[in-house]
Amino acid sequence: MTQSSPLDCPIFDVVVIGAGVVGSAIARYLSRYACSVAVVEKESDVGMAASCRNSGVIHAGINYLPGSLRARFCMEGRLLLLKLCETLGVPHSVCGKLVVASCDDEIPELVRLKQQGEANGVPNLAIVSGSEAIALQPGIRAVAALHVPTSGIVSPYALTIAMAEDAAVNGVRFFLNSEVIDINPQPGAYAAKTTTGTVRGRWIVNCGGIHAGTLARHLAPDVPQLYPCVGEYLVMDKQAGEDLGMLIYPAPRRDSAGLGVHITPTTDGNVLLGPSDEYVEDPEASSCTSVTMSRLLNEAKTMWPSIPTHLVIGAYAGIRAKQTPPETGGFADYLIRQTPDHPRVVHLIGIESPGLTAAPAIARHIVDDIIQSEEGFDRKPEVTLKVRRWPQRFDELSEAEKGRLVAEYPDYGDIVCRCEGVTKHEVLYALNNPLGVKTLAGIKFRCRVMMGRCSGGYCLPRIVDILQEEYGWQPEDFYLRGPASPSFVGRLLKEDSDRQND
Amino acid sequence: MAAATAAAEEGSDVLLVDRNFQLGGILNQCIHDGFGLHAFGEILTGPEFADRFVQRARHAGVKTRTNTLVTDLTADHEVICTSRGCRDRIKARSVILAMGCRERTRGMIRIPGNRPAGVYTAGTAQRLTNMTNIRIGERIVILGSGDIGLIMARRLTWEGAKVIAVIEKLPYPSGLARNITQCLEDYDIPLHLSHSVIYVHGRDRVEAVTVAQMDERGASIPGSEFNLGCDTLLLSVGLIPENDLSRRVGVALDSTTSGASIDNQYMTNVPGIFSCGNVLHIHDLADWAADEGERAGRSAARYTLRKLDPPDQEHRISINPGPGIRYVVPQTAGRSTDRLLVSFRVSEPGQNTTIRIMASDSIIATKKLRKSHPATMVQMEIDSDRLFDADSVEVRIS
Repeated sequence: MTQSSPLDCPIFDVVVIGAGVVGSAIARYLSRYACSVAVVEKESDVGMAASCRNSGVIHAGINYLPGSLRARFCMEGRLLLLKLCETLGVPHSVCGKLVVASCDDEIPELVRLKQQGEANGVPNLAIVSGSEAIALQPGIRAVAALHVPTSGIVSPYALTIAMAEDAAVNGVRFFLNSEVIDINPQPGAYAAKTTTGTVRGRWIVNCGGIHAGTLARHLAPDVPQLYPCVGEYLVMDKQAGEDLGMLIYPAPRRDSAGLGVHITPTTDGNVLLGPSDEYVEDPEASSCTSVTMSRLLNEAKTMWPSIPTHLVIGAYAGIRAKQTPPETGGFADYLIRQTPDHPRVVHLIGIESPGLTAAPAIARHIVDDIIQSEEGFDRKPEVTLKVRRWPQRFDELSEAEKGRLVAEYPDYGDIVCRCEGVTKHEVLYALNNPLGVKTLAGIKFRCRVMMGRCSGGYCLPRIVDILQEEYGWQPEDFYLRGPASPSFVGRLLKEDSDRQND
Repeated sequence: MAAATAAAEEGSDVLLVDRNFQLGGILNQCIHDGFGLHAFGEILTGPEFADRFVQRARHAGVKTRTNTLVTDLTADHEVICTSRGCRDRIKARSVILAMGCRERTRGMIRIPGNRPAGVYTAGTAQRLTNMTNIRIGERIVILGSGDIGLIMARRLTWEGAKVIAVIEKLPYPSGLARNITQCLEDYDIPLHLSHSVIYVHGRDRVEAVTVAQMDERGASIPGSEFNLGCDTLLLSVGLIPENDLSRRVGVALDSTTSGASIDNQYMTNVPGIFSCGNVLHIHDLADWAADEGERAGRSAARYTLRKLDPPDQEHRISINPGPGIRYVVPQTAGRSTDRLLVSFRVSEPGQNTTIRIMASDSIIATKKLRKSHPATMVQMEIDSDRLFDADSVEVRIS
């Protein structure tokens, strides 16, 4: 891997710790201003933790207490997010949501959600009858539902990667595979010591996700600990997505650490079932369990009885950064913390749901604060800014457009991934990303190879062929995620050259 | 290739479109022998077997386009081809679907645990090994005793890897008996029947798998778990006909085979669209897939030359799997059938069984099997005059 090392770098104006959706959004907004910015990330790519392991929902704002930061940032963030998606070409859809009551006892909860949503300024909320709900989404079971037309979906990994790459082409430095292990105040700056070297910044923004509490306590000992809470998901084939037009949520349980197992269409056409909510010890936990996988299917079935369970093609798990302990469950409001001793160090604590929706608003808030505190962080002239748009997928283009592209760029005619219709041109574009990410997972999230129903059975050997032919990669150069996850161990024992020596 | 050759020999103008750079499909990565015993009376490797068909196709005048993926298909037989620098539409009188199959994945069988590098399907591992010269791992556990997994157990052993065990959920192997002997027993590789992998360990690369014994309902037996340290998990847990293209054009699929539902001429419900080989149903021997291809190719050619009567929807005989039979192909037949070849699989292993084909309540064909096994496809031929008057036919085992 050829990512630059933080060693010998000058002092940055701002160092962002953590390249999740919040860190990437902050980097992207900061890249509009005349200041030097570095992002340090422990994983081999941006958005590899909670930011790519969630439901990909654009929340409307019905679930949060009026006056809370979660409510404010969700409402503001939703609008900023839609604008960002347009600017960067990130796949999204305002498809609406139904919160379904499975029995009459749950209807008061829908009424409460509606009132809360209206207090937050969510427009066009309506309680509909069971038959009206079924007319909106055939096949579901409901006695009544709350229809939330402003809810939507976004590709969470596309959003995070697109913001980070756009920041990178506009001058933000990314240091990947660099885990921050200490933060020390120094004269005029802070030194973030990482596993690959030390990065110094006049400002530090701690967007460490589940690790934000631990990081914060280097400088702010009173920041509370965070509790990892796993959410497992099942992924269903696109065939299942043909029958799902909107988000289907259960009426929430008050004591739950999540919003309940819901049925989510994705911008790629798949269906997600989940998440579960289970507190765990390990902040890096990402495993799926058979008990939960069965539970997800059963709970989804209560809302969508005819769910084609044989179309499950994958599973994943993400970690919520909870401030509320297992004993109480529920939700706490976001904690944005600057201590009097270290006013230029901002900690973002407990950014759980609706973190994806809220991210642009949190970023705007933090960046405005930094800009206003500093002289000289002027806005760069628009004409000097570069735009790196998320590429539109070849498979989704019109017939005419496909024909034109294949004629102009022959690699578009070389279809590498059969399930998702991904072309060699797209694979090479994904590989040559401005962050310098060269992992198979990095290619996967950027162009959807290995994400279809065959999970890479067909395309992996073809990608290997392309990288060997085009770039001379050896088996040892292939990693799934980072340096610890080699895909292969080498060549076969008996190469022709060995045989000749016999 | 068998279908294309047969159609060309019947007098059709045939274009064979294939996504690979060479013809022969998956045969080219099957460098082991065992092919051709039925088709040619000799034992060939996969590439040798494929080459016989390449020669025959060439001789019969089949035109070919390789490195070309058919990305779409219409019900009136327009084929959209995509290849490097070229995207075009070809109008045909008839289309034969012979796209083969894909492998069942970890996600589909929902193996719990982490998602590290080092989990591969057996066929993908075979391609990486045999065609890309890549060593995928050193210490290997194989889940599923399908034929590709067994072949890979031997292949990887030859390449210096340690194959620690083959794990099979069912109480009997799902691959051919000869492969159990030649690929596992000859190399002292343990086969754990009625066991499954219930957890994958390792955040970055596979470190171990937890194996447990399964009860009769397929649930793991508490207390029976043990860990096997390994860096690679191979999956040989079944094949699925690759019918995405077929589905898009409206071809009706059989829910058991996941292949097209066809009549005795190998024609799907979409007139002029035929199906054969592993895209129709999973074969255990390439020889039988090729034989099926030839039959489908001849039918398609007769259709293009207007020699094939359009199916008479009023007088369909439905062919159904009865007790003890998993599926039967074809699913329907026309009454004008001369001889009807049925291919089917039994549901469970048995000894000294009798297959009976029933039309209404009378037995129209019987076959005695000393051994019957789900891994082995069975074929029977029925005289058409015995089908006369029947509305439905059922295959039974006892």
